[in-house]
Amino acid sequence: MNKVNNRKVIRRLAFRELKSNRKMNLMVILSIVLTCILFTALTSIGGSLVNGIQRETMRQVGGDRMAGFKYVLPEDYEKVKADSAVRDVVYRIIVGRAVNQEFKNIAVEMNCAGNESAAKSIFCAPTTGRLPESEDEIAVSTLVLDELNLPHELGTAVPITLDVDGRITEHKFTLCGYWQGEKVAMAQEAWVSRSFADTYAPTPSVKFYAQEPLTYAGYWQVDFNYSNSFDIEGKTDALLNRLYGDRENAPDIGINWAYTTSSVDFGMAAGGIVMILVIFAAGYLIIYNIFHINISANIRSYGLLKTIGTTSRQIQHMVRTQAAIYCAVGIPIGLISGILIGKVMMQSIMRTINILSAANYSVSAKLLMIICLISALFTYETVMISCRKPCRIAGNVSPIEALRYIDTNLSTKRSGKKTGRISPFSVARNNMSRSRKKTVVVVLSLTLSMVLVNTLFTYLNGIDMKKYVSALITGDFVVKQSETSSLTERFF
Amino acid sequence: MKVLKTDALTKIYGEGENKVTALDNANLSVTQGEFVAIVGTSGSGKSTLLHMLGGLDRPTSGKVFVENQDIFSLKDEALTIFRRRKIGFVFQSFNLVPTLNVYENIVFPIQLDGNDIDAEFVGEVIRSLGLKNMQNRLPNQLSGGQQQRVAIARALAAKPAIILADEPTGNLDSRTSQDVLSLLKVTGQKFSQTIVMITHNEAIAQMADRIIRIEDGRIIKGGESDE
Repeated sequence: MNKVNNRKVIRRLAFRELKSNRKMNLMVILSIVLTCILFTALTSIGGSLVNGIQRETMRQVGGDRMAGFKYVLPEDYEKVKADSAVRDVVYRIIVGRAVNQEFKNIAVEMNCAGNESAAKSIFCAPTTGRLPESEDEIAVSTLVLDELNLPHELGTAVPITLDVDGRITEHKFTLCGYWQGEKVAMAQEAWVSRSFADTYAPTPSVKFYAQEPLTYAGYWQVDFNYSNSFDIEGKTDALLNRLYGDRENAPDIGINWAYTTSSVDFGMAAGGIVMILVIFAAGYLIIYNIFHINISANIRSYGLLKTIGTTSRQIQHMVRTQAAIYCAVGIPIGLISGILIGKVMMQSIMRTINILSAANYSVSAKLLMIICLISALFTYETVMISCRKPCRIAGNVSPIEALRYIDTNLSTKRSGKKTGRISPFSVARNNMSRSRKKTVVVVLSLTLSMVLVNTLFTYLNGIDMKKYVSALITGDFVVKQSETSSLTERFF
Repeated sequence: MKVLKTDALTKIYGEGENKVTALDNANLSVTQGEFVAIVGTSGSGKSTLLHMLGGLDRPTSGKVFVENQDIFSLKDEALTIFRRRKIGFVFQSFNLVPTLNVYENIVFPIQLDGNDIDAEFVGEVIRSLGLKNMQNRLPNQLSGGQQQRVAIARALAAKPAIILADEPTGNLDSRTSQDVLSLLKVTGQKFSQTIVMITHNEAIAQMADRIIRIEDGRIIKGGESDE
């Protein structure tokens, strides 16, 4: 059979049929919008939570890079940088610790950042001012300034007692930059310039473990990312093998546990998958039903089209084109609404779990794009799978059958002959028993929609703060000599 | 040349006690350019016969040849395409696509086939049937007679081997019926079109070149052409 170019006329017919059936359009588009909203809201809430938990963990860990080499030399940095599997490589040079009397409650590390990205990678980039350039400049967190009782002002003189592997020196720096200190961080950062580092912590000539006793000053911390966070440990092993071959010469490594699967536990993932399946099932059943009803209503017109020579494939193409048009309208509306609803719901979750900083619990533009893309694909596939069977029914209708079509397979056998009063109830019951399969599908779709809405509400309203926190801490209160409050204190 | 031929065409509905033989060993033939009327009372099997001739329904046994092609040897998809190319239909209930305008309805089977429209021929058909000024109207903006004229134009436009008309005047008043039938006959002659029309109305049947009579599923008179 020759391939013929008739897509245009099928498209035109599909479009015209749609235009003539506004009520049905509204129903289908609404169901597509609903499916899309549910999926988008779920994924954006899930994405925000995962992202937020990851950011929180990163702040506790003190860095956003996936892995790092500890106590290495500049040549190791060059080696890592040259490897094609790694990206975003940054380094910090260890100088020492600030041991002022005032710092009895906090630990202050003195380091030199390779560049702005290095400072950003451990959440210590100055938000006011800049990183130090001359030997007498320093950039510190506001917590350090507070401990020293100094104002948050550039140009302030900052006295520091520096401990470089046991050698104590006194310095007077000028504040060139500062940022909001992170209370959950293990230690506060104080940045000095490269020239200061070169003077007080010059680059050692031997590898870290080759020295006796061990000193830290002058060694580099090199942190980096991979293209994705999948199997970071495996990737790091492979990197070590590539760079060092025999592992005896390899440096210590650090894997950022914010990226490991523990941040998204099995229960959370399983819950997510179940939710997705429920959304799919609910969306499928609703859309399937509407398409099925529409096709039953239009069965004569499909028969007519068959009579005048429209093939089964052309009719199926027409129904699929209609489904695609519905998607083109419904999905964008669903995406926008889903993201907005997701945001509102996230704020409600944030209000419940108010120990966590809201800024972390948002999705980046890139992640949002991925969520939109996946949601759109998911909804599109749901629609296409939902209309597959109605499509087949429409395509396979015989012109003669279409003229006689009654929406039942007449396979339901009723035993006995009942003669009774005809009431609206009895007619309704008979209608339902005419096609049990259809009845089951309709009841299921209604049930699932309710289950879905109920689950969401129960989930959102049922977060038990005490249970949530008990998973994170071991005691009910903490006794310590510290002005930096613990994460949990505010809740008890 | 025989355009249409049947060979012992039989259609049985149901089984056992409910068995109904709607068509019993029907043999007929129609030659090129002939205007044939199939006449029978209600329930005589004439509509079943027409459905078989047009490949809309499959027989229990027997064959239908259109231009020497055994149409039931074709699979459903191929049969639909064959129908689109070789058979034009005119139904009692017009069966126009309600969302397409007059012109689009007329050229729809041609476009379904992916063919270029023979604008001159289609224009001539439209003029012959007096549809020139209503090409942009939708079917629901036309009278019954006008809709049937559109259906005739649609059947003619694809230049089929045969046009099958199922009670084409069944939904029209007597005056309009006369007009439509005259047009069907005249345009059929003008475009050398073979037409098989089903009717229960003797007066209408008289306009045909030949009358085939059918009763209880059997062809009792006029089944074979003189050729």
